[in-house]
Amino acid sequence: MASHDDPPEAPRIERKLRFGRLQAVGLLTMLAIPTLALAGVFGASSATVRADAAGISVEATYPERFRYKEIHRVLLRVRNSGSEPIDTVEVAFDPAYVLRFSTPRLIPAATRPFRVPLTDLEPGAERIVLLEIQAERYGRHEGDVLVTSSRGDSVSLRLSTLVFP
Amino acid sequence: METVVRVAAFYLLILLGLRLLGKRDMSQMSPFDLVTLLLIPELVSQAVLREDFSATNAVVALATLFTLVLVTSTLSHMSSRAEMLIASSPTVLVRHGRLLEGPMNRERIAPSEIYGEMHKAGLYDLRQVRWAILESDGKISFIAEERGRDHPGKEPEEATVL
Repeated sequence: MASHDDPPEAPRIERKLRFGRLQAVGLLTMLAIPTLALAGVFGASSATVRADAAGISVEATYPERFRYKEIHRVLLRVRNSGSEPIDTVEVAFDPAYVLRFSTPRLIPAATRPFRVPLTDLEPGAERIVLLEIQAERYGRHEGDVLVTSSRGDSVSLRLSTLVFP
Repeated sequence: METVVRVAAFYLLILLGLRLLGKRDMSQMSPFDLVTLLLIPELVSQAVLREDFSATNAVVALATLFTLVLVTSTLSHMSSRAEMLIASSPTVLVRHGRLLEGPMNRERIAPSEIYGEMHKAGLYDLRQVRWAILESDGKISFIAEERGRDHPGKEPEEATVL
């Protein structure tokens, strides 16, 4: 509005920010949420655990954190680290862990509930087992994966997954 | 390409439907306002939230939106330059009973719109208007001429500003 016959403009003041105490606390909390989200705190992350026993080496990569209704996989690598072939290795997932998720799917397919047999592992051979899961219940879900060879050796790994609502 | 056609088709369909319903049912907002307010959230929400149905995602999205609003309002308050960029400055559309064509064309305001808002302000003649101002929020304010001048006007205490 530049004309001399225009409405007068508003007077100027020194502009400052003023927040009440509660408001400031609330605003800081609100600002923290996207900041933490950008840092990946609320996003999916995975963890890897390893264990060895006589002749068996097992590594599990599993979702450490993910969100409701997301689908992720537990990837298990089983290796014959000994010098003798192994006839059979059984991978058993803890039902207490698996049943916290919906639509669990094992590859290769299980022959008994949540148990997958792996046969004829030559020395140095590695087999992969996949467990696909969908987050259904909020909170932390924990359970073990037990890998047992036909020779009687066994390895146990702990899985712990946090599901955000 | 298909997106453009579908958005255009639904825009026209909703606009037509709202026009057929008549002004009485849509008295608070214009059909254009309704269409854009109805369609924009629908178009944007899927792109923003994607397939993530978790409450965590919704909370993060909301907090991000509120944070952006806070940042925008703070910037606007602390810097007059930012304020001009974010919220446009008011525009005078009528001065002493005369329509200003340049500003009206720039803001795409028709004389009928000004007359409609004048009537709501209790004015019936353009000569009663000292200033008609298109404010930053899109509303039109009227400052009536003072009585006793050459122009017919309202009593100063009756002057109405929208």
